[in-house]
Amino acid sequence: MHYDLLKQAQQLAKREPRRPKQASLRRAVSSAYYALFHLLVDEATKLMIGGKADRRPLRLTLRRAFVHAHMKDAARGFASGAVTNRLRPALSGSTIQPQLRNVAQAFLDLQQARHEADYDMLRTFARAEVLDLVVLAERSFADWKIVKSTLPADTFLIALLVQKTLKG
Amino acid sequence: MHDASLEQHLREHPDWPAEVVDWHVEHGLDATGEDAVWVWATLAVPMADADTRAELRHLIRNRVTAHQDPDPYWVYVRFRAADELVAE
Repeated sequence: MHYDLLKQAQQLAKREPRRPKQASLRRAVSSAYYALFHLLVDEATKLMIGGKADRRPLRLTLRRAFVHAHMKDAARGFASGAVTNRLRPALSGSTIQPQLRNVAQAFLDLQQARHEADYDMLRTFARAEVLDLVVLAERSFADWKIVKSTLPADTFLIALLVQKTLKG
Repeated sequence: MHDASLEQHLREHPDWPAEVVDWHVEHGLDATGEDAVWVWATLAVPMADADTRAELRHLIRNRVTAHQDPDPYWVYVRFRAADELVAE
């Protein structure tokens, strides 16, 4: 679904070539965020449960446990390159790659933009701004391919779900 | 809340690319209620190259964060085109 959402964001951002409608631009921003959100949640649940077809219902159930605000907290640490003390041992001394920092930063930028697009009617979105946000999502997909399955990337996926509740 | 002081700080910096013609800065609470800064860079012509834009976004974030030191707010960077602002 995440690829479809990304494509939808691209299409919506370019609709109405002369005078773009705010509805189209806002939905483009929202789709761009949810494209990245679903990419990361999909990767996280496959990492935790595996990708077998018979585990799909379990993966879909687990997806519902991801909380946007908790994901934001985890992404902030990875975007700034400074994860929490509780999470640091999981990295085993690995550094967070620039591409992973980009993904985390883009997640933060897109989540905030999506909130404004969906709820802040005082804001006016311009096409250039929206196209840039869609490109942020596109680049995140590309950056993710580079870091996928590395220890920091796996740690990031786990952190998106559990960082808020880690103890000790 | 509009931040004219930070806008002026950004305008006075000599090293921005020529495409950047103006700044707009606002403070406020973000989606999760945390203090944050929004920086809109107005571009005379759209930067087609995504790498260049990403680099500029990174530079802006670092410069604004350093200016707020020691307790920086989170920075959200957005780009707008000058002709779209006129159209509004």
